Amino acid sequence: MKGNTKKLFRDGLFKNNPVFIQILGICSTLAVTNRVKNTVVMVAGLLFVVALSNLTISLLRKAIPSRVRMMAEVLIIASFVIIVDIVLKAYLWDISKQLGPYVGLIITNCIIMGRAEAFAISNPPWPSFLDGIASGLGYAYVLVSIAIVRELLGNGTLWEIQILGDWWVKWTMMVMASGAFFMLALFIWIMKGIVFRERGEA
Amino acid sequence: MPEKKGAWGKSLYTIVFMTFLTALFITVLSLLFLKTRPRIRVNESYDFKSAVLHAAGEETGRSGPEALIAHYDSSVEEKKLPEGKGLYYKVLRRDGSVSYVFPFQGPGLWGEIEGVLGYNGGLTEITGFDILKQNETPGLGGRITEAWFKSQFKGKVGPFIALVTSEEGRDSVNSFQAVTGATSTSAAVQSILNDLIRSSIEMLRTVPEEER
Repeated sequence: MKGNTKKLFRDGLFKNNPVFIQILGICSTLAVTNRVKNTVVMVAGLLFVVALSNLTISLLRKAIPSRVRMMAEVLIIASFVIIVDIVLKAYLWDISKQLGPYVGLIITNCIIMGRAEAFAISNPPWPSFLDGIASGLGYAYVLVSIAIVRELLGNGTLWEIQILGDWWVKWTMMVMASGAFFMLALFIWIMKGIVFRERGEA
Repeated sequence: MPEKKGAWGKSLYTIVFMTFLTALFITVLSLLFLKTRPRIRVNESYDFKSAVLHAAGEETGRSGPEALIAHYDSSVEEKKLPEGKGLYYKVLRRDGSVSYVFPFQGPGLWGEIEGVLGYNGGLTEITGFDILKQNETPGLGGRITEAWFKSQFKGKVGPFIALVTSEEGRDSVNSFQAVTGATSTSAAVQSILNDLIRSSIEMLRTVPEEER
C-alpha cells in the first residue's frame, strides 16, 4: 500500500504528469497563469474537484451502469465545480469576480474526466482519492511555476505585490497568451529534455 | 454494476440510478446554495453600494460591510434623469459636498462591462470610477478592476479623446492609461464612458443645480 501510494504520487507529479507528459488541462494553463493569485485559486479548485470526484466515482463504481458511465461522471464533476463556485462567491468574492467564467470551466478540464475514466472507475476509493490529489498537485506546481515567472517578468509583481522596481521594463508578452505558450514549451523542455534525461527517464 | 437480467431490468436500473444520483446532487447543491445565499446577497449588495460611494469620492477601504451599507443608506438618494433617460445617484458626502454617480453598461471584448462613474456637484470633474461586472480576460482586460486603473480617473473631465500607454500620459484630463496588452478592453471602456458623458451627464448639466 505504501509502495502504491508512492507510485501514485510519483506518477501524478512527474512520470505521468497531467500537464507536461499527458498535455492535459492546457486551456487553463494558458489562460490563468498570468497572475499567481488567480492561479493558486484555480489549482485549489481543481485539486478539490479532482480528488473528491475521483473518490465519489470510485465509491459508486460498482453501481454506475456502464452505458451511462460518462453522464454520471460529468454530473458528479459538475456538482463539485458548482460547490467551488458557490463557496468562492460566498467567502472569496473578489477572487470569484476576477476568475469569472474560468471557475465554471473547471468542468471541462480534461484532467478530471481523464482521471475518472483512467483510474477512479476501476480502483478502490482511497487510491482513487490519492490519485486525484497527486494529479492535482502535478497540475498545481506546473501552473504556479509558470505563473510566478509570467507575473514577475510581465508585471514586475508577485501576488500583486511590486517586486521589481521602476527600472524594470515590463515584458508585456509574458502576460499575453503567447507568453504562456513560450513558458509552457520551456517548462516541458526543461522537464523532459533536461531533468528526466539526466535521470534516465526520458 | 450489479448483474441484471434482461433489457428491461437494465434500462429500469439505469433510469432509477440516474434519477437518484441527480436528485441527490441537486439536493446537496440546493442546501448549500440556500445556506450561502444571504452571504452572497450581502456581497452583491456591498459590492454595488461600495462602488457608488467609491465613485462619489468617499473613502470606503476601512469601513466594514455593515458600516458601509449604513452610510450608503443614509447618504445616497436614487434619482431619475429627465425624460426617463435612466438613473443616477445623488450622494451627500461626509464633508457636506454632493456627488452624482451614474451607472454605465456597454460591450467589452468578451461581454458586458458594468460600472459607475461619479462627478462632483458642479459636474465639472470626475470624483471616482468603479467596475461592477466584467468578463474580460483575467490578468489582461480583467485588470480594469485594479486600483491603479480605477484611481486614474479622479480629477479628469472627459470625454476621453485618447488612450495612453505610459504613466506620463495619465495626468491629462482627457486621456487615460490603457491596460498593457488589453487595448480592445481599454478602448471599450473609453467608448462606454464617452457615451455616458455625452448622454446622461450632458443631460443632467441642463438641469438647474437645485433641482438635481
